[in-house]
Amino acid sequence: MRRTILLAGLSTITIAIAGPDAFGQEEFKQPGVTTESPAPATNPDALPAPSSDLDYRTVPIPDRTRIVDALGVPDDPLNPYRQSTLKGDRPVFDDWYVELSAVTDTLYEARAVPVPNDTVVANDKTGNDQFGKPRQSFFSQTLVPTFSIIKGDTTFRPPDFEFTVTPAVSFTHLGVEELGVVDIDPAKGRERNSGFVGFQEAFIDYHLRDVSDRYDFDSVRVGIQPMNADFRGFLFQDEQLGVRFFGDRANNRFQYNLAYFRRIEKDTNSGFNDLSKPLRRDNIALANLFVQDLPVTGFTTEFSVVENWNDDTGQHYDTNGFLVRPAELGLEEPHKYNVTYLGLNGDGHFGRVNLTESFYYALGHDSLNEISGKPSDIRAFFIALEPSIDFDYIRLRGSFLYASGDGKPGSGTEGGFDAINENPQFAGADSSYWIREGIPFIGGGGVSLTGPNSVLPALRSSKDEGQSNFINPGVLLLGVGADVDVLPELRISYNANHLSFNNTEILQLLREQGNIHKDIGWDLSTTANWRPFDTQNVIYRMSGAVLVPGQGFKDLFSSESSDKLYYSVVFDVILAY
Amino acid sequence: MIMGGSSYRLVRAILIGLLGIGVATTAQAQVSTASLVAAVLPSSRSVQVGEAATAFATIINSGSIAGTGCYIAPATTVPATFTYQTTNPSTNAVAGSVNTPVDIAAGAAQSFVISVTPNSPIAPTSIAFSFACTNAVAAAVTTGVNDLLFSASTTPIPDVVALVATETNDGVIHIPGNNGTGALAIASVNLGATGALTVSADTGSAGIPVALTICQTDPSTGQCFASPSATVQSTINSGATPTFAVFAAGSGAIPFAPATSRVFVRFTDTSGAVRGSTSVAVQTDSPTPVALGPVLVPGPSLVNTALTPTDVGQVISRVVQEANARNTPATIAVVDRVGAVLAVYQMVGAPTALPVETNPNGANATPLVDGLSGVGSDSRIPSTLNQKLVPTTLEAIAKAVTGAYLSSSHGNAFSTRTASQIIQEHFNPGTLGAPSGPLYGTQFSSLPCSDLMVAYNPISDASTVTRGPHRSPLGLAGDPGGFPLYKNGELVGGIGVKAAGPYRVDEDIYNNDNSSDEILALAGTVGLDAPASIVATTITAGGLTLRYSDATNTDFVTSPASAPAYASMPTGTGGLVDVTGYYAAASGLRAGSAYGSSASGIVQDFSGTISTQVAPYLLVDGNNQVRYPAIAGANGTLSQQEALGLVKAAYASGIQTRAQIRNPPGSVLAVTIAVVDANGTPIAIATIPDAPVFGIDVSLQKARTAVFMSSANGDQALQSQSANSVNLGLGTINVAKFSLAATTFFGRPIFSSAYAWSVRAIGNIARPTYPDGIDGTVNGPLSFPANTDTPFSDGLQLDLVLHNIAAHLLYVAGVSSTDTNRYCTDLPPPPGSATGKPVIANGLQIFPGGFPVYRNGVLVGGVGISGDGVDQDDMTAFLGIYNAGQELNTGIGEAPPSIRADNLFANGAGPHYVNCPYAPYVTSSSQNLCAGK
Repeated sequence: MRRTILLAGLSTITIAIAGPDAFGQEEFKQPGVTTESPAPATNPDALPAPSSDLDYRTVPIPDRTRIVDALGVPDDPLNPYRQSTLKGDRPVFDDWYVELSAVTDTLYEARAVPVPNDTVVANDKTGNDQFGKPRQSFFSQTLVPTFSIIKGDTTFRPPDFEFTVTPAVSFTHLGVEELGVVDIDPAKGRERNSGFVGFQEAFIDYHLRDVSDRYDFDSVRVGIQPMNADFRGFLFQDEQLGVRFFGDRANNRFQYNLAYFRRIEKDTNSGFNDLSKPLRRDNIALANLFVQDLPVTGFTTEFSVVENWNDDTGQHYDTNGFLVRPAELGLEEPHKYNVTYLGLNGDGHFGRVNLTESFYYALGHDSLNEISGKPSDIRAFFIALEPSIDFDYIRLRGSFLYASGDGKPGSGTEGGFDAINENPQFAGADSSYWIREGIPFIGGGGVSLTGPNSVLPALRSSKDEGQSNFINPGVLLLGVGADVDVLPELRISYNANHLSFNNTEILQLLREQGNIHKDIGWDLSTTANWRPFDTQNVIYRMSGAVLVPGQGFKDLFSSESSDKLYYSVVFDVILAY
Repeated sequence: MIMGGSSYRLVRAILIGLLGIGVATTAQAQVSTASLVAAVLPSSRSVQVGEAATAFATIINSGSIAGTGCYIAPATTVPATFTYQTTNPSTNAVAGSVNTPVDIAAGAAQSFVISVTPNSPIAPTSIAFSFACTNAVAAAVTTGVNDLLFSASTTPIPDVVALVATETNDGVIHIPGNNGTGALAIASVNLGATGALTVSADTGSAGIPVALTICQTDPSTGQCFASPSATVQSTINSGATPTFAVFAAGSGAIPFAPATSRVFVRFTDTSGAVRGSTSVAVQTDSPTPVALGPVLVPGPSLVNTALTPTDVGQVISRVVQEANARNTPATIAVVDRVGAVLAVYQMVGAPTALPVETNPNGANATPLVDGLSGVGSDSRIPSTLNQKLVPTTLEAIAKAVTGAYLSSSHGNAFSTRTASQIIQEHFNPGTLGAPSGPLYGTQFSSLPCSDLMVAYNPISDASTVTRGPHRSPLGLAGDPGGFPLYKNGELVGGIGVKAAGPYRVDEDIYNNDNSSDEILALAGTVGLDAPASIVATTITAGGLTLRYSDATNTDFVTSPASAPAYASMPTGTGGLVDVTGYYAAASGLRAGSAYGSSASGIVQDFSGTISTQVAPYLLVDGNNQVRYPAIAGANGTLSQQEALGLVKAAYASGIQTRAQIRNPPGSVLAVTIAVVDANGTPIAIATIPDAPVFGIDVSLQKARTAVFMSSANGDQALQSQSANSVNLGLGTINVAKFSLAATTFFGRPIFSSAYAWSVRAIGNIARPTYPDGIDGTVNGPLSFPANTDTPFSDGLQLDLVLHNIAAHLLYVAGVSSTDTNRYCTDLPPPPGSATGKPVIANGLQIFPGGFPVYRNGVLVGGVGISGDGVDQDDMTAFLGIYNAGQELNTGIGEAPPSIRADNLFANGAGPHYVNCPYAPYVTSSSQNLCAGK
């Protein structure tokens, strides 16, 4: 029988040492499963196969993780593919491990987006109309180191305890052609350099208990932690301050989260958590359950209920001086809301067809409808589907997304869907023009038609700092795409999405403009991902996107530039340790 | 008269072609008033004197409510008798009674037969008709659609009635592609005498890229008898029914503009008189025609709606009842749309004077002692006014005037609370960093010293109200408690109430003020309240909703609707009071003038001189003479033709422009256009129908401001005013310091002809922060620092006229027998001025919408626009100048870019010269109309 020896102060180590000939043929036992001894050998000349019941010669050694020291494998802190104490391969003492990692992301983007002329100042470059020159250049250098202390044998079961802190350092440079864009003060010019250090993770994770032999468990995590409410970041993907109970059951076939978050203010230009400001009066409670193999094997279904109470009734200005709460839209009066999102999400495959789906129904109450000035109900829904199928090295994708719009702004019901903090990984995601770019709703208020990394035209002042807005036009996205693995280390993706508003009444009201068409246009993009070492440690990314504006977009926006093409070209280098 | 039963369908087809009714029903449905379009068929008749000529007419009510009392009346004077009578559209048989108005349900059409019987010979004349209801603006007049080309002769003459059919049967010739050819078939019948006629096709006065040819056709096959040519000669016998075909070969894009892009077919006799005609719209079908806004052209307002003395008494009684119940005695003023005071009623116990707010920058700010806030500190002021106070009668009048002036019949209803929101240093008030309110400075317009605004005259007003827009004693008000009054859907006046608290602005728009002034004034509007579809809260500016009233009907402690009649009010509640310069109690409750009537001093001009599309309103004097016709400027600076060209071009641009403050979204704007010469003398003023009245004075202020600040002697004139004596405890006002500050600010003299100043650019440096809205910065040189600048003391603008206002207050208080000069400021007149008046004779204006006009780099005049959004005002003036320059080709035009004020730079920013709006025209989807101009 296996002998297990507990050595005080050290990990529990079980080393099975059989004869050299038998090494590697061991069938590891699964708890709760009785395996029978192999059938007798039929080759009389052969040595008998070792039985799993073999009486191992088990010897204690102080530290399994240093066993390879004897073989001359050194600790190499600089190479993450070698044994490294800094990467949690060996404990620093007892069964305490540290893990260090770092990611640096260097990004340059050249883009053209609709930009307003500053209406109160000018200088030699300023034009005569509402729309200014569209070109912008953006550079961003981000460094995200993570430092974790982990207690527990990490080989088979979840750690007992984990403390992780992830500061994030950001430097950004934005260059534009018009005044009043980089800062509300037009005298600040056309360029902005901005640096910030935020904390994207700072949590303690405590392993409460195991509930089965297979390490089904319950854990609690307290602090600033990442959370994604669904598979694709449609509703709430953020690093926020909260308490989360999570775990699994039935051999990991069921997973659950019960969480509460209180949102931290964000730094405007980096999007990172700003702990120097008071917490927002915005609370999120979340309960979800992932069920594997429902309805078919290979497909995971998530049931979720997410509640968002927002009581951000004070005035709040962003780093650049723009009012973000209340949003400069309609009455511009402080209001609070609570919304319940009922979600049904799924990810997996039906036979050869991969499918991701997301459905949310939002119902709630807004203390003040910014159009009517009266309390309003919130009733909105969202649906997204992405079927795909693989042919050899090509994956073909279809994308469908519908977010309901508010067709009767100012009525007793707000019908436009808005998320809490979306970050959609869908239809090209941040290589798509529409999703990647923030487009100011020029002339219609101090809000964006759609924020950066958003698919919803939610007319929010800011995705990070503003309140949700359920008085919006909604959107319909229909797209096709392909991911082509040209080389094992090179993937090229193509996306063509057609976008349209669902209801333009609110746009017409806010702009005092009749006949705004629904057609937003075609969003065409392509991305190359090159991973020269087949790893995630070095990634080169380049993407290009254009928006071919439809009549609705033309009704809303123009630019002073001779080329009225809206584009985005991104170069991105991600290095990870 | 012989007409087929299909005439009704044809009329409908024409109307559908005209306004896209049926395809645009959703847009039309947003109009919550009756809204009329009309057509007449046939479009021409020629008869012998004494014979009745008949035609069919149809009125369609495309609005969302029923039109009541709808009628047809000739709008062109001809020696003939006119009748109209409803018909059954399926049979064309007459129904109803002659000359009896009918109601037309929303979305319904009513067919009529009209009859014109000439009394004497009439050369071919286009008779326009007024198709109107008591609650709806008359349908727009469109030549070829709803006029009747009419002629009469003593001898029998041909009378050709022609009907058209197009390939698509929608009343429109569709030319496929810009260079394609479309066709039109004409069936005619000669109801008159046999005659030799020349049949021809043309496009009327419009220049449309289309070549027209015509042939007579075989009625049975439709084939041409001969090759199509420019004209066809044909002798048409009496009773004959020849048919013709017209071919339209395009040579360029023709947008869908059925009011202007039409093909006319005319039957001309040997004398050259047109004895028959018809017309049809024409358009090219490629590129895809742009969908139009729901309203192409605003129709004229009705002229028969006004406040009666009974109405005025009702308003007062409703306020008094509520004020009594609240134990808040009040002073109430009621004015008509042009600001004539119809009654001033003061309740027993009402404060006779209340201070102008002294701390608009917040409760903890240093109280102001200058500007309007300081006015009144003079020992000569009667003790009843407590010194340092302004009479509540004047405050109430200013509020009533503001309610009337900022509003319109069919576009917007604004209150003094709306004004408060848009005249403060931030828009919205309280939003740090946000630029100032779009109408920052409008509070100092329609001033008592304005040379344009008329003053009440106790002699001439004994029987009738002095004509024209009236001055306001304190300019326009931002003190909540002033509302417009509406009757039958038409703006007829305003009410202002002052009962308690200082005369102020509302700095905190988030809270409910519980203003007793406002609650009482709102009670007075009951029954005469603004249409819900156009109140300020349904209108946005820059995406921000405008405010109308914190008070609501639920605040009333009485039922205003059941207040007693004025004559039955309890005795001892108060009475009408004299207000020198505004109202004599002895005249009792006055009737207001109907806007557009001669008595209102602003009438509609159908001459077509300024616009053949939308007849403008013009200011007239007591003799019904136009006060500001297009004339040549002084010293040969601008010719009469140029003055007319400027006002026409601005007007033509204006009537295509998307309004910012008129509902429903996509409506066309309504503004006033003022053209001045280099001395600031008005050389043309015209108003688009239903423009808010405040824009009349402001447009002139803007035109003059642009001229004054761009002129060679701007700095010189300002610096001559280093000590302007002001009574009422304000000591001396130093205007020179602003000019000196501006010189210092930019490091050079800037009002000395070296720079061309738009009013927008002037406004940029006349704000308490620079750049505008950025807190913590220095003030613009024409303003005061932010901690002392308020809507009641805003720097150069007020200081130029404060002594005029002070003199006026002393006059009203009875201390002085001399009123203010009837021109503002004591600045020296421009060199060579014949009038002796300063350039800015109705005061400086500091919000956008005025530009100087240059010829070969020399300042020759200015154009000012006011009445809609500031970007709209800006564009209408700017494009007016540009387009007039292009059309006239006489060398006038915009200021050279090299001398525009946006070349200046200080403190990290420069003034902005012009900013034209997004989606500027409702008639096209073009953007950036001002680029490169």
